[in-house]
Amino acid sequence: MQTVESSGRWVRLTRLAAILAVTALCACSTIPRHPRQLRFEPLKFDRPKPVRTVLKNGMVVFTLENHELPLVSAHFKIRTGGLLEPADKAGLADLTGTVLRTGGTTTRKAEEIDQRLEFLAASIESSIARQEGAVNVQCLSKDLDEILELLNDMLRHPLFAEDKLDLAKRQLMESIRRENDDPDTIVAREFDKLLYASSPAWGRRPELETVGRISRDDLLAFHARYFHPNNIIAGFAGDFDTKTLIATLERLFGDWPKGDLDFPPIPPLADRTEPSVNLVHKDQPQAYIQFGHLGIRRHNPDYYAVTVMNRILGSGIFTCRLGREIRSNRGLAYSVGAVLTDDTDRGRFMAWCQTKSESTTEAISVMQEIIRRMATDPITDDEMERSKAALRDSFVFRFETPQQIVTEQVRLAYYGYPEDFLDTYIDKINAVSKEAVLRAAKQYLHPDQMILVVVGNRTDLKKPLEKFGTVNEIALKTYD
Amino acid sequence: MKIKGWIVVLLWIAAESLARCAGAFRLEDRVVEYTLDNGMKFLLVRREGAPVFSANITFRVGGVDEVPGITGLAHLFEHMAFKGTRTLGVTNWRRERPYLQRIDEVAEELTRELAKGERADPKRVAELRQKVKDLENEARRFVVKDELDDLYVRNGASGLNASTGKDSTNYYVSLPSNRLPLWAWIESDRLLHPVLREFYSERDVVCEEHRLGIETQPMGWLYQDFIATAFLAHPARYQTIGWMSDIQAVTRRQAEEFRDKYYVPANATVALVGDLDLETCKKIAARYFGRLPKRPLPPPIVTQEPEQRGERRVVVEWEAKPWLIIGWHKPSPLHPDEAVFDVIDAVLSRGRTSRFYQTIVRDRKLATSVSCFTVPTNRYPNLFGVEATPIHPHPTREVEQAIYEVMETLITNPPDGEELQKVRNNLRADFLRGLQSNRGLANRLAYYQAVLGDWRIMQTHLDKIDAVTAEDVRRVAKQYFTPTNRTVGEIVPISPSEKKEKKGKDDANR
Repeated sequence: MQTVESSGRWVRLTRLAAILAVTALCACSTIPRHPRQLRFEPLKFDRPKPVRTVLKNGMVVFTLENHELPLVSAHFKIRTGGLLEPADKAGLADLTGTVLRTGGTTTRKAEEIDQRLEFLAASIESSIARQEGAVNVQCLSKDLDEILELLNDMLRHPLFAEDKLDLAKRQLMESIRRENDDPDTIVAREFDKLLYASSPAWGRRPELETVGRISRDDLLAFHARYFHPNNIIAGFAGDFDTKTLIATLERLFGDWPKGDLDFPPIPPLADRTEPSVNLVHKDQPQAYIQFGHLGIRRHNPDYYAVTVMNRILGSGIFTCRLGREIRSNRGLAYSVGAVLTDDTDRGRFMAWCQTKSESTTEAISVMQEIIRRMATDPITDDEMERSKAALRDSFVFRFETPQQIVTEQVRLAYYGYPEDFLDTYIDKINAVSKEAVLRAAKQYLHPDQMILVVVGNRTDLKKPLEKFGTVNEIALKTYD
Repeated sequence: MKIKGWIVVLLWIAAESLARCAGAFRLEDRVVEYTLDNGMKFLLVRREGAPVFSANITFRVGGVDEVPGITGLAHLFEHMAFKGTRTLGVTNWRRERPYLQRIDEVAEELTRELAKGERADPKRVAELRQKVKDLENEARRFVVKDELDDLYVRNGASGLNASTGKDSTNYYVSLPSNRLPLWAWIESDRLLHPVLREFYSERDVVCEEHRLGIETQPMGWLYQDFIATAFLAHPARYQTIGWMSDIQAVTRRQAEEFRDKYYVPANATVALVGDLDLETCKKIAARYFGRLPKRPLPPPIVTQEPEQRGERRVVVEWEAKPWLIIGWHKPSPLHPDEAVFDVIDAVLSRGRTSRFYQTIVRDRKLATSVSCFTVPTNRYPNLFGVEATPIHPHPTREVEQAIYEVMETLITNPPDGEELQKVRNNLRADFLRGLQSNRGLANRLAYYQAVLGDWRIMQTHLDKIDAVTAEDVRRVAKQYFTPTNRTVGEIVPISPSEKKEKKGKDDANR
């Protein structure tokens, strides 16, 4: 500084400028006292968009090339699901999904397919869940044509061999026998049964008797009804040439004719949930707790307000109200949370935690109070800002890999999201106001309609739980 | 023109052969190593794509570094690392400090009282417990709740978490690329100026985690007993979560001592993978993490597991269906036989063409699944394990026998030709698939470097797999899979009434 002052004005200025420049550089290269003082260059991101093609037979195909690694992966969704199976044959969809892959085709033995796929380090795996059928394919790009031929055969000409069905049935039955070994499975299952009492298909699970009734003919009929090219949406990501791939798909699947689509109706769910307090006895030192009620339909315009509300209430581990109080302040649980979801018919509101028996009522009471206040207490600027920033800035992670991008695209198409869903997502999140969140909480959270399920020790819990209402004890089935 | 054309063709051929040959991806060409003067090692990979990166800091400290009395501390410390620093999570740490000291004193008194066992005064215990709670609540007036998480979340973090195993503790997060300085700020600050506030309520959280993973889960409980039976001397024998009584007694000061010993820069590996400029990464690494003073590496573990001289069995009675787990002692992963064990693992249990699946699952229908694994450590000699879920009404002993019969075929009919080639193809494809996500690659680079001492093993191990012969498999199976060298664990079902009876008897004895 002294040298600067001793110099002439012009020089001084230059020196000053030089010093300022140095200071500015230091500002970048020193460490600020608090990370909130850090400033970041804006990010530019053009989300790669998969190409959409419709094959002549109606199959929708999304493709996204990426040549970094010699790999291809594909994700198929078939419009079917356990929702559509008859109640007395619960498990039919699940078994169809399994044996589609394991049961061979009319021209290829199952063992032959296994051998070839595994030698090529490729995989084709199929499954049918409650609301969707799915096939996932992985292979080295050099083998893509051969794998697609196998896949084509499997989707169109499955044999559902008797011995493989028998194997799948035994396996499914064994997993039913074992459900009650895991308190997590019990609490989820019993909650679903009660929640979906008005339309049981949504909460139904296979039982030994229903699985016992299922025959190969049932699988053939279930497959024949839903497996049509115009009932399939596919996505490919990885190392291929889109034009060549589409030509291959047209050649392979081209002679698979469109089919008539005919879905049995599912009874709608009731508008209101009947509240109840339920205890499942299990001799253990910790209570597994879950409570909630029905949620919102898919494509509800309040989806964005609900998404922000979820973040504030229970979907941010530590940075949400429930996590902060139950876990961080009180040390009552390792896992705690709540979420309001949408679904094809009705989603659900669900809150959960696991805590030592003696703190069960404390945990439930505090959680219920926090949920009640979601609709009454003002939301702070801080909560709004954090939640929106979190949703906005982590959005890019939905598109980290080509596989993710394509799988997400297939999901959105399958569940009928508007084409601009992803393009408008951030703007719509940004537009959510505090009032909208409060309104959503008032409208969709119903503290008076809670179904409460607790798995834990009767001796420790029965009496304390009466605080929340008449306790209904659910007996567990026993198996040999 | 002509020359240009040739170049294009050559490039095309090069690209083509790369695409055709799955093993051609050389990780060596992608990973840049950078080590600070204090010994902290950085592994950097730039890849194009979404403007994001994944960071993983792995410390070579885990459950094996614990002794009885502090089991579970490596994991509890990992929880505490999220509680903040002198700057994060607090309004005024100087004013907070006396409170933390006071809490320590009361908590240590509580530990001493509990240690009296039968002679402990229940009234005093209750008082002290309440006192710890009250004091922590008082100290909360200085706490900015979970500010570290909050900062990350506000900046778009994805997959923010940490994990602790027997060998290492890993802190990971993915962020938008422009947030690299934020990551460096937070991570270096929690190494430079950590404050383990809210220790005792977090200790309660870990107790709930113990109940969740072990006390309410038959397989969790059996696994705990199984490992403790297979290992008598080596600290590999304790569960990473620790013994409940240790968790309930460990103090904040013990956690600080543990940290000072193991959280030294030379004991850490950092992997950064994503859309990053590597020169900037180096500068930021030096600027932020270069501030950490150089410190000596933690002491080595000298205890070695003595040779096993006979089969060991452990039974857990539970109101649950039967389950089976078997393990044979084997050398550490740096031993030349490791590749042979990997081949055996795949031959026995990988996919529907594996020997276990074909014989036990598909043909004999004795189990829903039989799988292989390696536990519990990769820093020291470990176990080759097999677990099976029997199908009703087959007892575990029948499944166990079938497992031995299949394993005998490794000697009588060792894998050759196509069966070996299949394994090689799959392990190479696994390697490639593991490169697909930033997070997966970062995690593996850091793990291999920190635990096995060299990230290159990820790739060089594949060449060792290629060299495994039928004779190797026969020799290894003969040498290790002996009854003398094995430990067997079973869940034996009991009915609720049996359980009550047993409890009654125990009470009467007391």
